[in-house]
Amino acid sequence: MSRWILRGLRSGIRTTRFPSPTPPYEEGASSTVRLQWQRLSAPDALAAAQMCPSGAIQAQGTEVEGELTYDAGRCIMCGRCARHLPQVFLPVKDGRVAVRQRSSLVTRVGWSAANRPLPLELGRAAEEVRQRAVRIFRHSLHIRHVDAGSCNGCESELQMLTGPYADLHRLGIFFTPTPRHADVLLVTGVVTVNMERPLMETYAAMPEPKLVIAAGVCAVSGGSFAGGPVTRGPVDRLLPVDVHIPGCPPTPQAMLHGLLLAMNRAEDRPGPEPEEVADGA
Amino acid sequence: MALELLAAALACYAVASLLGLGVLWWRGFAELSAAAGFVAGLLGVGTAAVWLGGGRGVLLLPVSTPLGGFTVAATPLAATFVLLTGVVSSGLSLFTAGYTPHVGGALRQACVHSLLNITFAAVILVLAAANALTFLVAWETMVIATYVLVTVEFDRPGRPQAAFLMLALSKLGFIAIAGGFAAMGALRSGVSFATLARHPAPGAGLASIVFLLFLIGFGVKAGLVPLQGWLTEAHPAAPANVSAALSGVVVAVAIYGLVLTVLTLLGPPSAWWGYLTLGAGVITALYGVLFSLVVPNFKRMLAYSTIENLGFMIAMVGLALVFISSHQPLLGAAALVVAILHALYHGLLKSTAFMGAGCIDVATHGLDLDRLGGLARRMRWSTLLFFVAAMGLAGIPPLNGFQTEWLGLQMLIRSRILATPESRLYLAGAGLLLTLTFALATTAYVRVFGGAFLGAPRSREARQAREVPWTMRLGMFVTAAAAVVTALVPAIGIGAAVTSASAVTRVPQLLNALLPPIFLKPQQFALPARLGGTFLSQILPGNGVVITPTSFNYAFISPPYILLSLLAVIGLTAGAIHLLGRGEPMRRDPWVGGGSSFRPSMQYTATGFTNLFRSTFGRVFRDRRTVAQEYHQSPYYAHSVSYERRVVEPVETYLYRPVVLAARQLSARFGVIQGGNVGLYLLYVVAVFVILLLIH
Amino acid sequence: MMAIATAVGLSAHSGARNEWVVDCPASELAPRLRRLVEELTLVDLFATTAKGSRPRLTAVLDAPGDPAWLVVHCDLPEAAFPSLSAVSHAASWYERDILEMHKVMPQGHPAPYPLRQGKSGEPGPKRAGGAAGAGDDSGQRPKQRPAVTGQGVFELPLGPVRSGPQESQGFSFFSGGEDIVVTDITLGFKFRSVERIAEGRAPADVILLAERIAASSCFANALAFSRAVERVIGAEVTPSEQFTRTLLAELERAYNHLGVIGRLAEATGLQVAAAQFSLMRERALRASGRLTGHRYLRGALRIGGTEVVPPEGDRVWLRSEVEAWRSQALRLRHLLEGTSTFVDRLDTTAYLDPGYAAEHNLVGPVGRASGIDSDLRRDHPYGAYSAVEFVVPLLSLGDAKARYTVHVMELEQTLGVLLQLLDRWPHAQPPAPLPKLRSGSALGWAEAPGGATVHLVTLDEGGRVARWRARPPAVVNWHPFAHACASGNNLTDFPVIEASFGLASAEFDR
Repeated sequence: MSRWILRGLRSGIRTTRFPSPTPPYEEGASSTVRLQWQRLSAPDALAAAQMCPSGAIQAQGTEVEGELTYDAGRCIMCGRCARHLPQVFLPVKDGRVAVRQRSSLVTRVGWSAANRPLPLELGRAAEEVRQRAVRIFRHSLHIRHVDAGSCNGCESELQMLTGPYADLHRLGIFFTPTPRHADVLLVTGVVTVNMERPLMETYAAMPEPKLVIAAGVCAVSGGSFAGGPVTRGPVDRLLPVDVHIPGCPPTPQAMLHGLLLAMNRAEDRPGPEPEEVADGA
Repeated sequence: MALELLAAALACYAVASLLGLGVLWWRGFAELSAAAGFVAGLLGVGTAAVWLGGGRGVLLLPVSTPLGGFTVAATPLAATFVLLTGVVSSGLSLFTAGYTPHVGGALRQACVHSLLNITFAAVILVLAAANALTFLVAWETMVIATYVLVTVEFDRPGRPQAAFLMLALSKLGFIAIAGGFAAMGALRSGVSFATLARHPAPGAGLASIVFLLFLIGFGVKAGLVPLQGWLTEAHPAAPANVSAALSGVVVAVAIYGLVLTVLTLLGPPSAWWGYLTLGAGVITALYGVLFSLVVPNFKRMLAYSTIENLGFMIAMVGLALVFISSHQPLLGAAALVVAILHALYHGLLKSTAFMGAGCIDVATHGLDLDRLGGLARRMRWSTLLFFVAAMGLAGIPPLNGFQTEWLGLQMLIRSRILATPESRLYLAGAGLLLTLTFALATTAYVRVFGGAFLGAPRSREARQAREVPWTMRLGMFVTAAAAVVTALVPAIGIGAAVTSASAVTRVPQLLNALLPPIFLKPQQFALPARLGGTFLSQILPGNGVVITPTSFNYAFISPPYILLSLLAVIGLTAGAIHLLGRGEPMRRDPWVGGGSSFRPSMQYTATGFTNLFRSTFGRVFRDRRTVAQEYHQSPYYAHSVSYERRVVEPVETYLYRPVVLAARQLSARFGVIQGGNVGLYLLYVVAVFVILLLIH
Repeated sequence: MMAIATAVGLSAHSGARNEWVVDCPASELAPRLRRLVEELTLVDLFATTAKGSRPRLTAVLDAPGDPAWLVVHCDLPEAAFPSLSAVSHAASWYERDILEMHKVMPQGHPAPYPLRQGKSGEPGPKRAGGAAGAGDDSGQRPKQRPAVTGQGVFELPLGPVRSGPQESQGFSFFSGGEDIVVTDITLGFKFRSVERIAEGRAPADVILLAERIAASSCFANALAFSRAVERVIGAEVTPSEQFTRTLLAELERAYNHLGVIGRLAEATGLQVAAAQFSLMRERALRASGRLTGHRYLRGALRIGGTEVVPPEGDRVWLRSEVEAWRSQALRLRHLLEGTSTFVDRLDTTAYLDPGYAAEHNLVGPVGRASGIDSDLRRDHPYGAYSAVEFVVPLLSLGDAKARYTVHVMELEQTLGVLLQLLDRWPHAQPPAPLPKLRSGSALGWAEAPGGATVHLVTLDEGGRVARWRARPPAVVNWHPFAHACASGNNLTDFPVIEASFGLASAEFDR
């Protein structure tokens, strides 16, 4: 046993400093795709919508004027658009991608003589969620995870969260075996017919107040399995979702960001502001 | 006064017994008989009170036999046991009124009512007996009455065999006791216990033999391993009220007999008597508790627990012998007090527990712990009363079991005043084993209470259980309340036991050694007196707040203080939850993973609970596991799996069974001469006649 | 292979390379197919139903030492067929699956019950087509579970919502206190019907679905699928892309095996060891992310090649990484095997005897720990495996320790293969233009970390996926799990048992 302790000590500290302000985005993979909307042209937009296999990119319009939407909640990170249209679609390694509102995952860009980001109407009152969470969960959060029909990629990343790299416990976040002790229900995967009842029972078994996190595009939007014959669809069709984490699967940083967002210790992913162009590519 | 009350009690039992027979004609006699029994019990309590208060008297009954007359006397030693008998019998009478319809038809009901009262009368006669003949006759009456009571439900499987085993072992015990009395000359005409006590004088060798005979004789009734077999068979077989009488009173009489004969009639004891008795008691206690942990039947578990408690009492009698033979009369007397006190407490608690088993049996028609559960919500009062008994028997403060167990262990720790290191080591070992025993006993009662009363019902019968008739609950209430009162006012029980023990050992100031009068001498007992303040000194003046193992400097406990602090802790916690808790509590089914609904079969069973002990004490239990499956085509398609885990009772398997087999073979040999032919038998008669003539 | 088919009395015609296809008349099914299943290894058995046509039964068979496969098709005249379970236990779950999904009755099956929990039978016209003879589905038949009786036996439910961040699976342990008497497994909670969703889609998009069958065999399933498509259309893959595919497949094996060993360490309470393996796994995942942009290698594969070929710089970097992993893995293995609390917990736990393994045609490390000598990389070579040397570890002890040992030995082999690939990297060639997609049907296979994954893909005239059957390794290897759990183990052994099998329910519940 002492040899194990020695080996552990010799490894040194490997834990990521996320969410400290200077993150070394060490996971080596991209967490989302950022739209460089200034460079969007009509043919690119139409081609991108054509090639996107998950329907995350949709375009409507003519050569002169039109509108492109990119929904990070449906993007399975296949990388096609980034490979073929690198000037517009930029893979981003920044893991801060989670949002409180489903609609915040959608970027709308109009193309015409001058490109412009379009505003989005807001859905559920985000401020209310924030207020609830800030009072109760700021210091410690207990998670009950439910796999509602995932490919086990999200579970794999969740298991990595408890490992030494992400080390969830340093942030006061823990997985709990029983919903009785849980503050937040973290759902991965598209909700299948057979998992609907267990999911709803788990939610019912949790004490108030409780939050719901949809992790991964399958939980956010159905992802690759949207509209399948034995699926019920995304989580927000059944439960009120407070935090959405995109990704297929979300990177550990994205998961951490989503959890911190639920605790109100982080901010939503930055919206499509004009000044942010290339970051950490 | 002392004997008049006794006579009144006996007469009342006789009336109750006759009224019980009346059930054959009219059902209403059952209630009348119960009322008479209740009054008889109260008269018994009164008798005990008078005896404890110093009432004395001797009466020679106007009947004579070649072996002498029948004499009864009021003795302080018997008084505590009479008290126990009185309380238990009054409670049981009430219980019986509600319970007997469960036993069967009018004949059986009449039989139970009548014989139960006869049993109590016989017990009181045993306790009042002033010479050996009276003692033996009353004892035998008690044995036969209980034998018939155990066989009342003779048509249920295993019942006649159980009763027969009890009768056979009781006969063995009777022979040993009678032999002991005969050997010491107690069966001569005109020799009373009082004269024997004044001239105890068989030689040392003879005294030892007589001691062994008494140890075996009373050991049978007291469930001394390996003579305990009848207890665990008869208790589950008997109706619950009979079990309660057996465990509450009859076995306590065996302790009385042991103390009476060994400590008063045999003169100064040898040291080895004490060590032997102590060792046998400790082994019995451990054996009893180990099996009480694993057996699945509720009443069998209680029976094993009885063995455990009797083991503790016998061990304490042994300890008293050790101390007395080492010239430590105060400690010896204190150990004897523990033995008598435990007999009293255990009798009250165990009769309550067996009545609780009766309630369950009436409500669910089954006593398999793995098929019960959830009774707490269905039978609130029975559950509460059984809970009191279980807490007491498990040794949870502030109830009774804790006091005697604590005192007993403290007495064993006092062994350091003994001369030789071997004896100190021996007593320390005994203390260790008894501590283990008490800890396991707590676990055993957790299992029983949890398995039967908590959780969700595991069978249809348990689900449909309803509360039992009020008379049964009232009967339980009598004994349970007596237990609680004696626990919280230790002066009652300890006072009675001290009076009884002082009569045997003649140690002055025993009461003040065990129950120091802290409020009368506040300067000597500064700490507890201050703790008690002026409040307790008003309601509990003098003795009775603090118990010590004969020396205040050594250690002390105070049951009323413990109760007050427990109530304070519970109250504070409840208050904190009430004040700090937020919102309405939500009620949901137990969490089972979201896939299926909760089923009662998902609960940990009482058998599952014992797994740790089955494996830890695997050598004792010879735990055997068999899994058999039925399948289609190949074992991969099993459609039913049966699982069995069995413990082997070593004494029954390796001692009784060979004896029974040998006896069978022997009788088979003798069977040869039993031809069944009348001519043959006539020939035998002629042959015997001829032989007699020749000898003459 | 051909000879056996002929001996049985079936004439085979050649399909894609190394693939014989036989059409068996329904009347001959019982004797012929049974004979084949007896002689050969049953790899897969499934049914397909299409609207307006009869159900079709397909069996995939393999013979040791023969690089070719045998695919037997049989059009059933009615919704029933003679069960093969009496001949091969391996057929048992396939047949229950067929019964559940297509309402085609395996006649004579000893336990003809639905395989999965709940109502996962696919709704819609597909099922109605051939289900004429199976009776109306008034009321779901109860899932067969053995009745367990005995003094004090209780049921311990676990799942589908498990204790930690784990996949949804339901277990019911029947126990007398601590020992497991019977384990009853409920799968199918997360059944997503991946293969149905793929129907009518372009193969390039279906690759993305194949990747999402399970992250634990993400690349292997995508590889098997794309190879099936490539075998239909006859596409060639350039050597550097073959090397990339092999490299990524082995990378996937590395991080999955590291995960299995790490979970075993965690199950035995060795937190430091678990953390060390977690660190190594994270390094491997990051290496995957650096090479392909995705931590689970998603989006790296395309029909006819790969989307990425690691450039020289990445290869040099990867080589030094793999060297570091190798020495670290050796150190940790040495430490683990010197830790008695680890070895003792694994020894004789969840014993799976070779006879059982052989009767159920187990695959992957689970099979190889119970004496099943099979590895598609060696038996049916593909990719660049013919260009490297490796050995297939084989043990026959069958307990958790053996499964651990096979995993750790395979990890060492895998790291060796990675180094060989990086050392022998071929010059890049321009990829040949992809042949036009056309109709046809072919097998594709790959050795996933958990064992063989075999896909049968049928394309329609438009080059879209008409039928796709994927059989990832866990479909086979879940079968012995309940059996192994009950072989004298305690409830506290369950984490060890589960970790040593390393099964993904996403592969079963596709």
